[in-house]
Amino acid sequence: MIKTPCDIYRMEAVEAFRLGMEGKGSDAMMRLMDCMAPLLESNAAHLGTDDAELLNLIAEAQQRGDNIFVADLLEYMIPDSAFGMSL
Amino acid sequence: MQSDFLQQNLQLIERRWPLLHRSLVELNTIERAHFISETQQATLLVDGIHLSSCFDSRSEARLQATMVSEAATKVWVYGVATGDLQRELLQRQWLQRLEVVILNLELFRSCLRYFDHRDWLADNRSRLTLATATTDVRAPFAVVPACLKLIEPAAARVRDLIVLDLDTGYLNNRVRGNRQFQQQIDENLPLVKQDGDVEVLFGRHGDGPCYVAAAGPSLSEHYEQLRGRGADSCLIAVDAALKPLLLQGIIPDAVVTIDGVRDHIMKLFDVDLAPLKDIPLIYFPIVHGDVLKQWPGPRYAAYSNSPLYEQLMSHSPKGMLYAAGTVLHAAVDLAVKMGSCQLHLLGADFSFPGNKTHVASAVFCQSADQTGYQEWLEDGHGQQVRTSKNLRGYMRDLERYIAQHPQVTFINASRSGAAIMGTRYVD
Repeated sequence: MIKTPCDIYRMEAVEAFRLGMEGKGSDAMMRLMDCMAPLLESNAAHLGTDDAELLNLIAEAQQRGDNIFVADLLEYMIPDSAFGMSL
Repeated sequence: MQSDFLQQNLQLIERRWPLLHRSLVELNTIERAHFISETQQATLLVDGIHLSSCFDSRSEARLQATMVSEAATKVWVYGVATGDLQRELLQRQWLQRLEVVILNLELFRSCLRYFDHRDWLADNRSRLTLATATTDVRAPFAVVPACLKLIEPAAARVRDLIVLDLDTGYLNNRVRGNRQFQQQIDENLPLVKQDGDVEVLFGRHGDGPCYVAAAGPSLSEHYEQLRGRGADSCLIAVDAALKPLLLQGIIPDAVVTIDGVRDHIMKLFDVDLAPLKDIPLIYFPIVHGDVLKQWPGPRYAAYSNSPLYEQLMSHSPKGMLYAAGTVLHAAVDLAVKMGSCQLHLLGADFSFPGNKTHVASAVFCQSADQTGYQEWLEDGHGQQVRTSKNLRGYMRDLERYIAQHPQVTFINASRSGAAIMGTRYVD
């Protein structure tokens, strides 16, 4: 399985947040968001309410410093397809 | 309804750690933890922070345990959540001692209520202590990250030291991988070779006090004192403090600059530099050449222990100055290496007293409200003062430095800024 840059940044952020490495995690999150922006833009019409809610949940959790929950959402809640993962 | 393990866990703690048991039963606070059980794995939610993964806390604990080598015989764990991290480490056959440090007693009691911890608490290899303001961070360690967010205010220093430790490798790699910085160092090579070595300044200061001026808001409290300072004293200014000092008619005896971001540093020197034609500039070679070339006085190069300077050190050796992210470290180390026995820290606030980020007339002075930073430190009056995570980290590194230099008296000249451990006040 070939992982896309988005997926690599996602797992970097997940791992860093679970280890308490906030600087590294936040950096990976920024890269992930940069990486996902074009994907989200091109799929804007297909984004459901659930997807938008999920993105909001991530943003809110990060804002309040709830990094373990951010890691959970990234690892378990966002479908792989959202990261443009190719097989 | 979820199980309540508190009494069973407490019985075990009473047998092994009676003092801790007493503190736990005497704890008179309203529990803030919410037990979350509708997810795949139960956890606690405290002040909006999940304590552990709602999906796979064992796998999370396995990852956290990888922070510690399998061969380690003594390991420190900071924080307690579900107990999975402790269990994971106790499975290791080489482990002889697991030192568990509680970061928040109230949170610990909640964990004892909602999760069964008896297995790891009963293990003879486990030790339990409560973090205090003077607790040192010991390695090798693993951490329950959410506990850092929920740490008791009294133990905030422990959190800062752990955060510093966890981020150091990443920050070093980021600096090392910065091509722009490497290019600036390469371009500065002729200057570095031609300029003086900071080492010639070492041991040159006499018995008088040495003032190190940073650009925190409280610097303005000391302008009068600096104007009237004795001839045997020495004033070392960090780059950001230069402009405010000059505008007050105060000429420092030395200026230190170490930052590689050209445009940022150029602004700090955007002032009439003519009065400084005899004043030395001490710099790290990462500083942009445009900054160095405009300096009217003598220049002295110095290195830090950053990997950036390893190569330079081998072919163009110079004296070393300590710096862990801020020019203030280098200025303080310069004062100490020059021979100062009494060092006054001016404007070294590491926080935003008066809701300002810098002293008035400093280039980047703004309202703290504009920064969005919500972290805090204790000031010299015992009150909370707003700060940023970076500033807090810099202060902890300075505190470590101070602890390593017992021969020097460090004086924190103002109570407005952060209370720096190891310093004294004059009032």
